[in-house]
Amino acid sequence: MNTMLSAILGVLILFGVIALQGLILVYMERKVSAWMQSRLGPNRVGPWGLLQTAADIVKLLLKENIRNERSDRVIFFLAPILAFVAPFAAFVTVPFAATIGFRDLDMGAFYVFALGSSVVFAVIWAGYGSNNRYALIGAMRSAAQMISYEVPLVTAVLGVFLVAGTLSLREIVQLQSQGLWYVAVQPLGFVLFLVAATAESNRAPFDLPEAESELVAGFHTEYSGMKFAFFYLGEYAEMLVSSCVLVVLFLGGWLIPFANNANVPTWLHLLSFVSKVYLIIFLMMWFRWTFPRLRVDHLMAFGWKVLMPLALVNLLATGLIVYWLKS
Amino acid sequence: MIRYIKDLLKNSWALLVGLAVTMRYMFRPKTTVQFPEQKKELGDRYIGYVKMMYETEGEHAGVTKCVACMACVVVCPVSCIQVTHDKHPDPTKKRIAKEFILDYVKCEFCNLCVEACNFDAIIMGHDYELALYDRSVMDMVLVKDMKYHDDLYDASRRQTGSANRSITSPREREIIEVINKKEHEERIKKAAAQSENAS
Ligand code: SF4
Ligand code: SF4
Repeated sequence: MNTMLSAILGVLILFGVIALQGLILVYMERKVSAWMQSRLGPNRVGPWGLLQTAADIVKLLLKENIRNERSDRVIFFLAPILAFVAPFAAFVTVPFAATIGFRDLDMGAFYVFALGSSVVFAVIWAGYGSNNRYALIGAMRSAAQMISYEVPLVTAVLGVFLVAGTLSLREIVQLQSQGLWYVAVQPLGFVLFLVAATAESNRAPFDLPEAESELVAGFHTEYSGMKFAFFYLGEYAEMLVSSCVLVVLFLGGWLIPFANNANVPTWLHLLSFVSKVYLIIFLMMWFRWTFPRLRVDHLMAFGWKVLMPLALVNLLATGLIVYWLKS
Repeated sequence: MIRYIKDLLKNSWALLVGLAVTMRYMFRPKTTVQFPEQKKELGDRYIGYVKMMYETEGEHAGVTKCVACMACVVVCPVSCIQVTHDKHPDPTKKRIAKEFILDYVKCEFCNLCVEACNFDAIIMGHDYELALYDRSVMDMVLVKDMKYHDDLYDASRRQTGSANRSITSPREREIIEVINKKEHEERIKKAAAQSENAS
């Protein structure tokens, strides 16, 4: 009973935190995009437009939920839920600080990547369930894209696991506290992971599943109101979770650079973690507002002809070096 | 193989250049003009809508400068100007417009009437907040009973609550300040000469 209660409490806290992060990230995205385009961004609702996203949520809550008459009712309903739940569940194993985190799984990284790739189901369900050709084309593209970027993504991090010798995210951070951060050990892996994670979370320049100019809104064309909001939230949750994993794997998680991390208060560790995550998210936004969207065949070519060979080379080199050092 | 690596490095460099551009723009001053509070500087020759000029000083201040010569009425391609005339209160002048009505629904802001006017009585103003809720008030009465009349301004102020309606263009200011003064002085001179002649 007690574990049940604490689990429910944990889920509620996590949901609150992610929803809040979603609000902040949407606001940040708008501001960053505006500044990069010499605009001002939201500045009317609340001080500096801070309440703009809250107003948006209210708008989305009040909107009518429209469902295409011939859509597949069950799948149409489940898709946005999965799109949000999968990245949401991945947070369970992310270590936020030395003593903060929900559950420490010894296959943590595997769990996170497995959930990350299940988002593709949500997208395909949304496309199939909507009974709309734009949505279906978006979903097909998304399936192709996510499956082909999954491979370099995982291959890129395999190097880290080879070096660390563990799949537990917490242990990986603890190993980094003793030596160099893995961004210094695996610089190529870091870059590859960053690019592949951007593609994985369907963000520009890899946002082909929702390419507005060709597909209206891609897989979520038919969604409105709160269901749409869940897709939106899911995208940001996914972005959040991939930056969290990136920070944990390559940037030393909660560790503070150039400092003795042994007797530092937990809140400082948490602050360090959050600021690193936001740095990575800013990087992703920077990509989004700089690069134009790729064409489908270029996207595939980039995934298979650039990312994949580089990831393999990285893996091979790491494996050889680790083998040589150990023997 | 070598070409592959070369291309890879070259293209990655290109991406970094792109990132640098957006980063630079992020810290540049923004170009947004926040419309209702801030307004854009308009060029001198900006064509807003037709504005009537009137005497600003002297005996006949507030009286229109339009002498009802009908040049603008003739030249207007859409015939949207109506002018009726009366005797000028100033004895040195003959006619004056009693009523000058411009159908702003029809007006196409072509500036021809302003060019036709020999008396600098009408100019193109600098107002661009021209939307109104009601077509009927768009018959803008520029002159009523020989006086400068600001019907449209009043109507729009009433309806949109916009406070600073009358933006004076540099041209307008110039006409008001220089030409009015000159004419006024000339008229005083003439009057003085007349009175000299009489005595
Ligand atoms: S601007 Fe052109 S259309 Fe408008 S009143 Fe003058 S002449 Fe007529
Ligand atoms: S506005 Fe000018 S052109 Fe038109 S009637 Fe008056 S004086 Fe003549």
